[in-house]
Amino acid sequence: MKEYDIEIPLKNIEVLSKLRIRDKIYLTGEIFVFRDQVHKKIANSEIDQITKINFYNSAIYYCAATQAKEGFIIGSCGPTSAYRMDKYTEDILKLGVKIMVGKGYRGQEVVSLCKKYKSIYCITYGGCGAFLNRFVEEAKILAYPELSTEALYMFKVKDFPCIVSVDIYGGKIWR
Amino acid sequence: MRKIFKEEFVAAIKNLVSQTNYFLPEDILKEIKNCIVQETNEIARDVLYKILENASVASLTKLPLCQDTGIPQFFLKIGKNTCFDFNPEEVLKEITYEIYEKERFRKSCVFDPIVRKHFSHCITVYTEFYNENEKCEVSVLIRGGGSENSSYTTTLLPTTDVTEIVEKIVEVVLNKLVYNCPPAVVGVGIGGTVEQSLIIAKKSLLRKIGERNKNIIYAELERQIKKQINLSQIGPLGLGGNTSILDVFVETAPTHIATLPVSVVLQCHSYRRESIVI
Repeated sequence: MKEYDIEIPLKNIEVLSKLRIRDKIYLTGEIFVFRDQVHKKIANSEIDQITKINFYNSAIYYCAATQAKEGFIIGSCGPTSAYRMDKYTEDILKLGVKIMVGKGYRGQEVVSLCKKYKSIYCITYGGCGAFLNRFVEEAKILAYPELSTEALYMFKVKDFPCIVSVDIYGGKIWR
Repeated sequence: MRKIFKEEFVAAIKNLVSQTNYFLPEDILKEIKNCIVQETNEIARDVLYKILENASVASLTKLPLCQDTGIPQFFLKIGKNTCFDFNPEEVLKEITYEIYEKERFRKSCVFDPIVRKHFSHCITVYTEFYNENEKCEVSVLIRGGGSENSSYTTTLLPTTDVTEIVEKIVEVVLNKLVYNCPPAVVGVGIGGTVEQSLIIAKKSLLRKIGERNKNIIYAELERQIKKQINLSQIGPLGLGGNTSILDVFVETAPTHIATLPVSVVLQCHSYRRESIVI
């Protein structure tokens, strides 16, 4: 188990080849935040609102936060179960996404896709949305505001902690 | 006959609904600490410490324990000599909506399950009457989507023996656990009608950690299931370790001679549960 600081979006995808399952990584930079409904829209090519967004070498976080209270940038913001995004994952990886962050296990197809697209899946602290709030420095809606809490957000994060759970070599944290 | 006035009820419920999203119950905190002592896996220990840290941040900053402020599921027990000058179910709904808006809890529900457009808050209420003369007990479980998605119900053959029932329960939990947020608590309902088995499984989650079924046979079953699941090494958040579940609660009900309903409900570590007596 090693630890790495990773800047996102990735300047150089070579960094992913160092990572193995159980490594702890700290993400700093801009991360896209979206889940079920935006995945479905992308898969169905309802992408008018996101044509200008560059997903190349980016990271995405499966999360729908609570609204910010006074004095906060965002509310509680832990991960949601990633398996629900499995059937849309190839559509997302085709856009150039390299790091997925969520909680829980993924299907075998996602492990294969991570190998094929040289991408990784990371688990972060599920059920710890209050704790994770401190790593978010900025939050704004980029698209699909009609989806309310499920809109596509961008978070600026600093040292956001996660654990590599599927690596680019087909390694996965579960049996 | 005691009449419960709306103001009294409203004040108690307001407090219940907001605080439950900010504070982990004492028994859960205590059990997480116990698990840290027994846990040997380094990643697992880190996750358990983060759960405690999250609870401390939530209580200090008033950020909800979990972003999934879910669906508050109320269990009302009304004493036989108690009456209301209002509709308690309606008031629970109104107050929850008000508090969820005020505290900026997430709108985690959609009004129509197919259209999925109008985001809102919602609750469920199960009401029963009991023989405590002049009391009204309100319990709440605030459950997120992950916990609801990892529920299971089936009807087994009435001839199924207890070993097979245990095997089935363990199999279900091992399959569903990681889509929850382990360490979880397992609620099991055996018998009853189909919906009753689910309701008693869910209601079992109102028990405190370590509170065994009063029937020693079922208490033993709870211990057995817990032991088997914790041998799986799924661990906190599925990252490995001895701490996959914190406890197992089994509840039973009389059932039809031709059937054997079995339901399993998982509760994530963000165990938002509270009871008050009005």
